[in-house]
Amino acid sequence: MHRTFTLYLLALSTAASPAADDLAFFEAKVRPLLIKHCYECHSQESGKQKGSLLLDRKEGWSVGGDAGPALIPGKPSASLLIHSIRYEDEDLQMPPKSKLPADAIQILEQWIAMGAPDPRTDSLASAASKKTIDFTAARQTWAFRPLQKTTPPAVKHTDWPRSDLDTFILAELEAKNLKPAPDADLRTLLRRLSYDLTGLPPAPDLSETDDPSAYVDHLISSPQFGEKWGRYWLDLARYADSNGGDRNYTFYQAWRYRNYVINAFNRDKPYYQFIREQLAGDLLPAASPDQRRDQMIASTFLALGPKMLTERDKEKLHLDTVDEQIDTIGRAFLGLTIGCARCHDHKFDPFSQQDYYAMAGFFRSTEVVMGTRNGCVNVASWVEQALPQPEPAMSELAGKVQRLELAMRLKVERDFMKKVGGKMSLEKLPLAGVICDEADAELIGDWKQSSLSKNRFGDHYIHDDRRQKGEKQAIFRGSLPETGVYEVRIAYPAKANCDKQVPITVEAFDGTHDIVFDQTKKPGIGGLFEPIGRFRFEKGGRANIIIRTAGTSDYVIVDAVQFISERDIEREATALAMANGTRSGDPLLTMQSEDLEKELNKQINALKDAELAMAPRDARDAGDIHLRVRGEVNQLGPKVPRSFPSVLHSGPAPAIPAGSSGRLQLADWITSPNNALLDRVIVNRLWAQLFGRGLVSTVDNFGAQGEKPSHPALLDHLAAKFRASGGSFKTLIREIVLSRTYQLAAEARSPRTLADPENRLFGRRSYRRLTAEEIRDSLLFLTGDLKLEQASATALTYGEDLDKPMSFDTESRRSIYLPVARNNLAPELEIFDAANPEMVSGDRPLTTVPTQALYLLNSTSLQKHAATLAQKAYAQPDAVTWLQQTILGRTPSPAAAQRASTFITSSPDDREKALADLAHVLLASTEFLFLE
Amino acid sequence: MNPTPLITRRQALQTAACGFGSLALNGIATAADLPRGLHHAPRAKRVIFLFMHGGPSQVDTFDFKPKLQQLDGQKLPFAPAKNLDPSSTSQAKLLGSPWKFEQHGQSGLWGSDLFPEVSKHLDDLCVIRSMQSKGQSHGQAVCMIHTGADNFVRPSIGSWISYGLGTENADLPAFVSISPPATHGGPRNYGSAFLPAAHQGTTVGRAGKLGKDATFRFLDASGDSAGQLRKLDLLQAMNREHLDRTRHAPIEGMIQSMELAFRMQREAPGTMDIENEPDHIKALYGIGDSVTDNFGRQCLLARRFAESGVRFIQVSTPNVWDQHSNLVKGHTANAAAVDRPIAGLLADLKQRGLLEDTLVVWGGEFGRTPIVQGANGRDHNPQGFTMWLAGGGVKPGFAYGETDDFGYYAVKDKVHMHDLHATILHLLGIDHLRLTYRYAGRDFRLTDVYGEVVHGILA
Repeated sequence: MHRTFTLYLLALSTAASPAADDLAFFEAKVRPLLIKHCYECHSQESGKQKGSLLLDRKEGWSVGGDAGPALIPGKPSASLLIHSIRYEDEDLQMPPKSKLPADAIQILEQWIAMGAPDPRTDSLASAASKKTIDFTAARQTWAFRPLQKTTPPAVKHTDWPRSDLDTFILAELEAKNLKPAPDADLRTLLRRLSYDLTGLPPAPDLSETDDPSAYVDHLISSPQFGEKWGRYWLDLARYADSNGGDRNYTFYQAWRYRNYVINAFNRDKPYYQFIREQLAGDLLPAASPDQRRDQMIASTFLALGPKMLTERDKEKLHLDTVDEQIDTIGRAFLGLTIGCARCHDHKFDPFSQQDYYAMAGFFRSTEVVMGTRNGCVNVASWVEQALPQPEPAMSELAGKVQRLELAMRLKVERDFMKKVGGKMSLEKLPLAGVICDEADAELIGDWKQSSLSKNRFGDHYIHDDRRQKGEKQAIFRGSLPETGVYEVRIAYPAKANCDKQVPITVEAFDGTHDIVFDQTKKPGIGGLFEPIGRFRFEKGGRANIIIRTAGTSDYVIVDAVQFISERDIEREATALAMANGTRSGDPLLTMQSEDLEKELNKQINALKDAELAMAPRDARDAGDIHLRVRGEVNQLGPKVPRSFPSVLHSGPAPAIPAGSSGRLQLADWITSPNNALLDRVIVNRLWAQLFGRGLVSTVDNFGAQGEKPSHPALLDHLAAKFRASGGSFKTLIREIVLSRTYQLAAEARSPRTLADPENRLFGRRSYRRLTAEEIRDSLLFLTGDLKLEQASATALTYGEDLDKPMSFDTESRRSIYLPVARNNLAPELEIFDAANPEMVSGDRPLTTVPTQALYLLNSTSLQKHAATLAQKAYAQPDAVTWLQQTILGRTPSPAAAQRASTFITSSPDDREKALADLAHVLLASTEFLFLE
Repeated sequence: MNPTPLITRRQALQTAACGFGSLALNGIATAADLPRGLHHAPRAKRVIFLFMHGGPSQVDTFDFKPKLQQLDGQKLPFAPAKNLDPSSTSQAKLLGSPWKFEQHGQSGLWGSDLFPEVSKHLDDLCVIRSMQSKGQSHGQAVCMIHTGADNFVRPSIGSWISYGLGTENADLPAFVSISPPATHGGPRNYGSAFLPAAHQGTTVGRAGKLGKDATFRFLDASGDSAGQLRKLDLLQAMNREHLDRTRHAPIEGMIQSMELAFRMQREAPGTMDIENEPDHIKALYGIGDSVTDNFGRQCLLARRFAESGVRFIQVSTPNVWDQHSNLVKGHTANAAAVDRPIAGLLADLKQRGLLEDTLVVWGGEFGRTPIVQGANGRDHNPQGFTMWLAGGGVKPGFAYGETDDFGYYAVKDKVHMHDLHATILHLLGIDHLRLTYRYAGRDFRLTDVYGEVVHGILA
């Protein structure tokens, strides 16, 4: 009372200049406090302006930081500064290390109540101000501008190039006074082509091939082409068969995406279609069930990321999932680190935080994570949808999926009901939605607790005892998980002496509504609740129900408030009727928590090998989202319309139909011919795969922190050709491998290696180590054990999670088909730098670590392969030469042949063991592991 | 005059002394700010991190709260943390500690009778009672304590230290994790993420269990060594000839790594063989007693690695500390399994003079609520909990920070997990702001954009 009074008086005086007393108070009490506790992070002197807030000048707090003005003169309790120093919110506590002493808090409260007199007149502008991004200039830089028209440059040695590609390369070499290396010999070239196009060594009967062009056609049309190049795409798509993160749940349906990718490469699916299907396949129109099926599977791409499924703050889980998607799409498709702009504008590149949330809106409007995986309310699951198939199987399967989702929803709901602790009337009442008990309400005035009536929710209810009318209020602050229309209901034990005109205020997203309610009316729903109206609420937004007593004369009773989504009302009605025995229905509806959990696990298990896709869908509450200040989930900034990064898009935000995520618009934009970056990035990736280095060497980063292109004109030339071909991988790959540049020899020492040690000019061939998959597949190929047919659900038999050690010693399919368990990769693949499936990996690192050497020395499976080869060699007339030829793909030099023979003859063991040892050494040798 | 940047044998030996990392040729070449040497004089040369997986309770171990005991069974007078299980928020009633607390030693620090042996060493411990972390569930909090990130894939602290300091022993890895967690991120917690793979932790044992013959992956010292040497000779001759023909640097890397592997195969089994330790040392760690044998072996192995120059050694319990129910039974058994081994480790390090420059860190991914969950459990509590440090450069017999009257929220001198990470690096001579790695367009740090060194605990 006292404080309100002072506040009123002082508020009047704020318009005038601060009185001398006020200023003395500031100097004596406030300034020292601010200097001691705040300046370290919020002053020009310290050079720190955390949260963009300065507290060393009046303008600093009045304009405020990322979260708005720090204080409102005259209103301590409404001031962010006071809110934070009182430690009222776990997420916003200042000073961060220790709470201020009570008297210090009081001084600041008093100061603000006085109107926050402050003589510090330095302007904000005089402190270092925020940089703004110059998008117009950024759009003109090499990565972001439209494709430039290119003509092949003039060269001196006009007889050398076979194609324009070669001319571009030769021109740069000649500019440095260099000549290209000699052409590779035929054997070397064929081996190179075989590995680069199929990931396997050439067939033993290769000696009959003498036409590289025909050989390329043969390789490119073999099914092994898609297995080699699909694996590269899977690296970009952070493909895995398990979640990783906190719970390594098996993604039973992910394999369909893996095969989709392989088949897309084999069928030469146009790149733009390939991208569209992965971004929005679940939404695209389809001409046939097969096409629909393919497209749905493609959209699994969005769902594949690792997630912290046990994150208890589900909005944070959603936004982290969105972040992972933006990061993946940004880097894989556009070579951009857009993900860096989640908390603030990008430090180096032209992306604003606004850009980030404009993109985030598409994905927050897309449902990937939902429900519960194991029945625990804290452990989320993910969306799976039935794939098209003939009726009645289709409806039956769709029904099963729907029922599983219902079980998840009910389970979560039941567990939340426990929170209100009601033991008596609740046990048998299958109520839905969010319920706040009177114990959750903020009460003003003196309310009386009662448990007299049995018709109550929870243990008690409260009433106003017909006293102090007008003063008493009960405020329920709801928090709703989804945006949408909800029916609001109140619970009260109706009695004749209850008031007939109880004023209730509903503060919803669509405004404040005043209602007058008759509490003598018997509640209709479960005998407890009665609707007061339907209102629109926003997820995380305001959802306040205020029950008042003003103007009433009889008893006002407060027991509980229920928010129930429109779509749950019918389901709840059925359930309530079932509980009464007046109707029959799905037993799920009235199941208790424990039974639901059992049912849930049973259904998940029953569906794991069903015809489902791990495809996302548009969320019910699709729409634009709020910017998050400093990336903090609960610190809402302005709402940002969904749109595309400003540096790539200067037009207006796209028109997105209501209720839709906008992913179709995003897919259209990203693949449109105006977006040259998409072509530049993919063309550069293909080049890097075939040459060991990109024209832009940082293949995943075309931003300011990346490298500039070594041959910008060639990059744009290839990008334009790729676009003109409709996005044909096979056409571009064929053109590259038939170029003279690709077919050069590798060199140890030459003028080129001296002048260009890193081979940025591509004047010779670079050596490369075989990839992890190539090593394993080659071993199987050489022993004749490799099975070439396509595999399906290879992770299916490993159980609910992929945490246990997995061994694939007896598995003889190509490595791409081995289950990819996050955090638990097959050791023989992991140690040779297989992609980490937790992140985009466009350029696998090449490491040389002792574990590889230990594996090569000691691996039992490698020794087993060696023994098999030795047995085969045993039957040959010249076993030693045969082994060398088979494993290394060439006839050994006389010295090497001699050394090998001596190794055999000097062995203390029998010949078969000696041959196995030799095979082991050959398989462990760098000559086997590296490709020329 | 070599056209390609080859490493000479001498250089290789020099760089090997800086850790395996120098052999990850390609990986290192991309590092923008490769730290060589220290940023300031270190107080510790190595870290032993004793990880209590599941989250031990602060109010039942080292954070004595008389008011919690006094108000046992009553309602918490303020709001419990967000996102608790419904079964703990429904009542929010305080649960006093079932254990007796006493003050110990010269310092008079409080310890409960859950840890009678460790409590005898309280004069050596620096107890931080105001820890805070991020992540209300294990998955997030376990990744947070190991990698400084609760949601994304980041290098673990041991990997950062390996990257920053390398190993003191060229024949052993810089970062060893003994029986690391298999769940809650599993290998992510000793993974190098985007740092070069050489910096990932080398593991022995799994999920809190150290098998009797546990060893490094693919290490096999049991075979026919003469036969292997013969093969190695032929292999290296072939590889050297291949190198002459190609002058390709990674081939030289393979040749060196083959030699290093062979040396490691000779060295590591000796380091890992704890059987030769004298009986009184084994007894000190509780080895031979079925209750303490497993963790005792892990702790003794940690000491042996520390002596041999490994920089960061982690020892983990199984995921057992998560007492949502049956607090007394669970915590009693868990503490019994580790109390003597930890006390033994502290005593052993001290008597060898190793505690001077070894930093021992004890704690779980979070603490537990002072309010009861269900009938007799406690829920997760990253809002305020206790960890302790000992040795290399921290104040002994010292308590830092405070929680509120009930041990729920940290309120005074809060130490966030990022701050602890910054402090550990500081003690090793590394400025956490300057240990960076450029990846995907950003300079990453263990502490992200957070972290302040806790100067108040430095000796």
